[in-house]
Amino acid sequence: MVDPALVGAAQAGDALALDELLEELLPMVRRLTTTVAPSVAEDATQEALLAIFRNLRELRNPEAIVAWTRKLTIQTALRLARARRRDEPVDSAPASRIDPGEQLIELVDALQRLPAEQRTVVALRAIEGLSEQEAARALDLPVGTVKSRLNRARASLRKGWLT
Amino acid sequence: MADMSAEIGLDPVVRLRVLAAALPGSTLVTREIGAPLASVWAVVEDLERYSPLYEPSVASAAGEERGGRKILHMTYKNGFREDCVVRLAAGWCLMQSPSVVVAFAARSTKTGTLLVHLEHWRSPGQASFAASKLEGELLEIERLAQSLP
Repeated sequence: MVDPALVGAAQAGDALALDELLEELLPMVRRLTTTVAPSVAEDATQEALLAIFRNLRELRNPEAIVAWTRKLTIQTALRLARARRRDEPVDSAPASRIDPGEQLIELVDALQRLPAEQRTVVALRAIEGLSEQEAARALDLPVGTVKSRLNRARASLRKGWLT
Repeated sequence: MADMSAEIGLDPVVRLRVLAAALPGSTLVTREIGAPLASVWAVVEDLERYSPLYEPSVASAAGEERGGRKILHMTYKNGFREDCVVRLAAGWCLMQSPSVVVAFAARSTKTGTLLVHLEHWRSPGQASFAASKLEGELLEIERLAQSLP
């Protein structure tokens, strides 16, 4: 939960508030870009942050900062992932840094092998904890599309896990 | 020196570019400094000693810790005085007074140090700082860094 007063101060041009807001939002931005666009995560993080802070004054409701940041980050990460056409398997080195447990590494590897669109809905549901409706709003998609992507992701993960 | 990106969670140079994106009218300049990061940052972070040497308008700067924050008492050559709140970390220096925002970010390169400098008037309607002013400051910081033992 980000303090709306902090967002308001940042929108008003308080640089210390901007810096503090950046620190608050960075972990979520990184989680999303690392999951949605692992092969271009650093570029996606930078571009997402630039988009967020360049357009911060357009956010009318400071209380919506998290949802708004999530949306911009996902849009940016997906755009870069598609541009790079890097939906192929990614080296598991980033996963190894996340958790030393072998099974978790395998799970994260399987996740990273999913197409970006499926990876995104899994990230929003399983990592960010959003409901299907919230994920649909974040992605500007019908709930049905989110559900079908989740189902396909689950089937792929199950298949990848068992083989 | 400590790993820059680990301390803040983001490359300080990227962080400053993000901050600049949120401050329309701010001036941002970059210079590849011919001195190691440790020397450059020794100059930048010692605001009391060095800022009057590279910032043409500053007569003196006196720091104090107040309520867990670093405060810099600035006296300008025209007699004007104001206090800056300072956030310092490895490779990151952000200062804000009622009238101005000043920031530096640095990272090591193969040949020296990439130093990025921002200045921004907080009052609306003020003309942006001239890039040449900031570039002059970076040149002076380079000279000071190169003169360190």
